[in-house]
Amino acid sequence: MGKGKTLFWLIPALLIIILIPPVTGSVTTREGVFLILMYVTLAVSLNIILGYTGYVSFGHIVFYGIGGYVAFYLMKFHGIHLIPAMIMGGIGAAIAAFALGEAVLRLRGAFFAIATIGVNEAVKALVNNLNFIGGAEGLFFNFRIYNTYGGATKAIWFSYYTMAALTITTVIAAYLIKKSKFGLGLMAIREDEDAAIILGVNAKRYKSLAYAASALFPGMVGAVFFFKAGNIEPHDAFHLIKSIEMIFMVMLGGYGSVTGAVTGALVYERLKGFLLVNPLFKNLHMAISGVILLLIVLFMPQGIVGFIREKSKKLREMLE
Amino acid sequence: MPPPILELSRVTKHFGGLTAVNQVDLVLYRGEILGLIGPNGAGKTTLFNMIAGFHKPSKGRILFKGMDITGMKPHKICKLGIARTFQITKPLKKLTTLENVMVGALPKEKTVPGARERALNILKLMGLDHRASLPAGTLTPGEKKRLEMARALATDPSLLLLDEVMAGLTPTETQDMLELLRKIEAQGISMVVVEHNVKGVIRIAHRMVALNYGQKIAEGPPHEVITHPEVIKAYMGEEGPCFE
Ligand SMILES: Nc1ncnc2c1ncn2[C@@H]1O[C@H](COP(=O)(O)OP(=O)(O)OP(=O)(O)O)[C@@H](O)[C@H]1O
Ligand SMILES: [Mg+2]
Repeated sequence: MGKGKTLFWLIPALLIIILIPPVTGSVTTREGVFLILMYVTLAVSLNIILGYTGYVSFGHIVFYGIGGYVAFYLMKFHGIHLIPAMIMGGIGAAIAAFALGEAVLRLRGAFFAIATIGVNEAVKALVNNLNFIGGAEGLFFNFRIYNTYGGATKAIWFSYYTMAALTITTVIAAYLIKKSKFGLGLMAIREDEDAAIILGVNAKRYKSLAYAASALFPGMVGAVFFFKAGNIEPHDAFHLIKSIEMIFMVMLGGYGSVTGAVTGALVYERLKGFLLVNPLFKNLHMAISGVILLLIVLFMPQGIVGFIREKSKKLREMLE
Repeated sequence: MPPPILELSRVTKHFGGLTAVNQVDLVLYRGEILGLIGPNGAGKTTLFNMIAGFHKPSKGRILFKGMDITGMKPHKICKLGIARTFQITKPLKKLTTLENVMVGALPKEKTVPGARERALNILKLMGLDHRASLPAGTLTPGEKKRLEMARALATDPSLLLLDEVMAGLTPTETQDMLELLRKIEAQGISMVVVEHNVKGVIRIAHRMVALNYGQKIAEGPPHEVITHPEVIKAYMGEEGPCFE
């Protein structure tokens, strides 16, 4: 196992990307980078359950939605600041994941994947019918909320830096998990759950904890995203397409590797940007992404980074 | 006689209408190597699955060091000191050979470097150290058998359940495996050795038990068991290699 070489280049690389908008002062760039950071955080988090543990959480966006709603509610009705509200949102999502994990993680393979879609849809339907959080219409901020942060403009920059800090934290946490006793146990479960159990891994507990960890950061992402947006509604918060995008990013970059998830997120953001501005592909971007996903699964199941890791022993430690 | 480490009383397992293990009583004493033989489908693996906590017995009780472990979770049983190998090897294919063994070492070792150290020593003992950094999926079948054993040993067991670790090995590999079992014996680890290779197992077993259709048909010193009329009858119609 490596000596932390991956983080020594990956974190500075992310910091450079993060610094581009404040240095250039470009709002357009900031919006682009915000999206990239969001994708990176979501993909790196999903990778903990999908890539390390081998469980395809298809409806993972549910945790982003839960975190978003918890934080939005606290900010709107209790005047709580973004940072503590975000942490509460993350914890809320993690607790939900842990509880769910105890119930659905006993399912293996496709059954688990399908169950997680069901969970997302069920939560969406529930929120649609809960009037105290706005039901189908959702919730809106009174723009006075942004005064705490020095006005709307500053609030948006504040959400940008919060997202940046969140991304860095997530990448470091995901790396540390991978290199820990816990991470090794998760990878053992992925490779062969029965073998892992017989070697003393408490698979049930490990899986629930991995699920909680992989839900914590998306919950916080949801908090920051909807704070910045100023409104939240069930359709946006529990959008299944976003879930599929997350899986796509992890598979594209290389499941199980932190660098892989980061790479997948970056490539996907570029690809989507390209497809969406191109009039020819505009309405087809999910279809094209689907075809690419199919090709990856068939011909390069280890993803871009996984492929490089296989080819080069030297680069392996740098691409954990 | 040393105290018993494992005691089975009237252990039974039904799969639907099939009784895979039927009222088996068995005692293993500390430091002992028990050979467990029987034709295909006799219930040997099922018996291991029950001892290791993979299957809950339909009836009967299993005591380990005097403690009732019937129906206990496999990872807990592992921590108590029972390790097993799988008849069909289950390497963690994408992990390296070293990482495979580290997984076994982790529950007992507090730190990752500690587990690594322990795993490396075991790989040396098993003659697999030159394969440490290769993905376990790339090992030869013989190496995979040794990896199964290495991982089991890494959990620091006092009882080792070996399910056909000699099956499919070349004569030299079988020789090496027997030597290895003697080394493990010398560490004071008790073993139950399931084997089709009866010729191999009689060279190390202190005592033997034969199963057929889930029932114990013979028990005693190796030579008595393999010449027992019930055992010969059970094996009749089976391919010769068993006694070769
Ligand atoms: N999980 C299961 N479900 C249903 N039947 C099973 C299961 N496991 C084993 N059996 C059946 O129980 C009987 C005993 O099988 P077991 O694998 O224990 O035999 P064995 O002595 O290990 O045989 P072999 O020498 O071929 O490994 C067989 O008839 C088998 O088909
Ligand atoms: Mg068997």
